[in-house]
Amino acid sequence: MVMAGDRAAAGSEATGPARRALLIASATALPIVLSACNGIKVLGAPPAPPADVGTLRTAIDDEAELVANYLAVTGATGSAGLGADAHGRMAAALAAVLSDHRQHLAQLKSRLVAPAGRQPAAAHSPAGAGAGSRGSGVAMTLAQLEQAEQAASDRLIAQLAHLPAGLAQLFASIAASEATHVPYLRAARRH
Amino acid sequence: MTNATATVIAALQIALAAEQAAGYGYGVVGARLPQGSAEQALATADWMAHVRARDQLSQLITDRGANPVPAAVAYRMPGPVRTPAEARALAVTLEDRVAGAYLELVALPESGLRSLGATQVRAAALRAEAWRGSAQAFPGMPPASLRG
Repeated sequence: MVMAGDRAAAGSEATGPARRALLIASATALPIVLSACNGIKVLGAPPAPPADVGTLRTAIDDEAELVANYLAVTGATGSAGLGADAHGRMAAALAAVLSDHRQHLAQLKSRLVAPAGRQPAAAHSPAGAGAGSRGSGVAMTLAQLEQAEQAASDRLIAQLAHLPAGLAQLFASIAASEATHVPYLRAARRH
Repeated sequence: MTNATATVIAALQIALAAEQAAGYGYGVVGARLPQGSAEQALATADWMAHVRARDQLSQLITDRGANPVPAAVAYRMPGPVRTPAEARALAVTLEDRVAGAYLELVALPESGLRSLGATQVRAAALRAEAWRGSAQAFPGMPPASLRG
């Protein structure tokens, strides 16, 4: 049975073996619905996750990397040559941005329903994450952090098209938050 | 009109209503900021952004065969707006509401409107940041929609 509302099957123009394979793949991705219709039980290996799960996993990894980058920078700002007041203001700004990213990461992870027996997606643990970040363990400069924020924001907005509505809204909101970190950090640098 | 079209129109009208309210609200914001100040110039620039967005949304609604709901003659302010600090707070409230309204567009399946919604959530969040002086973790998202 092919579900009438199945997006992958309905949108496909493929014929022959390729189309049959696609229909089977999409059918196995709907075990609960099939069981309800026909009493068929799907056994064996879990189906490949749909594309939006891959997008979500990538977003989780990106967010974990941002957290790692801020942890590395907040550990290194003591040598930035700032006066005590300026250092305090910048440290507060970095801590605020880090807090935002930790909240982003938690919300993204909460949207991921991993099949039983699979490890949760986030490969990075915030506690020891600094060494795994880009830049060979060297803390990014503030300018690099701002660039990373803008790039992360753009990436999230570019991935909206095929996401479920609720996840698209979360991506859009996080993208907006990350964009605002750019002027926020710039202002903290100036003062 | 199909259900899908009605859903699109409803979301566009929500965004339009938020833009109309923001356009009115920025008039109040500007009036309470020091004459000729940089902040007043910022309020003017933000007001113009909302006017442009309002016109774009009206056009999108018209293109889909519906009539844009006209703006109200006047709007009740969320609180007193007598001082520059209260004017800044109003600007923040206006932008937060605009961001929330555009998230309705992001929930639509049409990729062009979804993208427009996301771009405008980001633009509103950036304007809010300028008035607030700080960033928010989830612009436009009602706290109840967040998990945990």
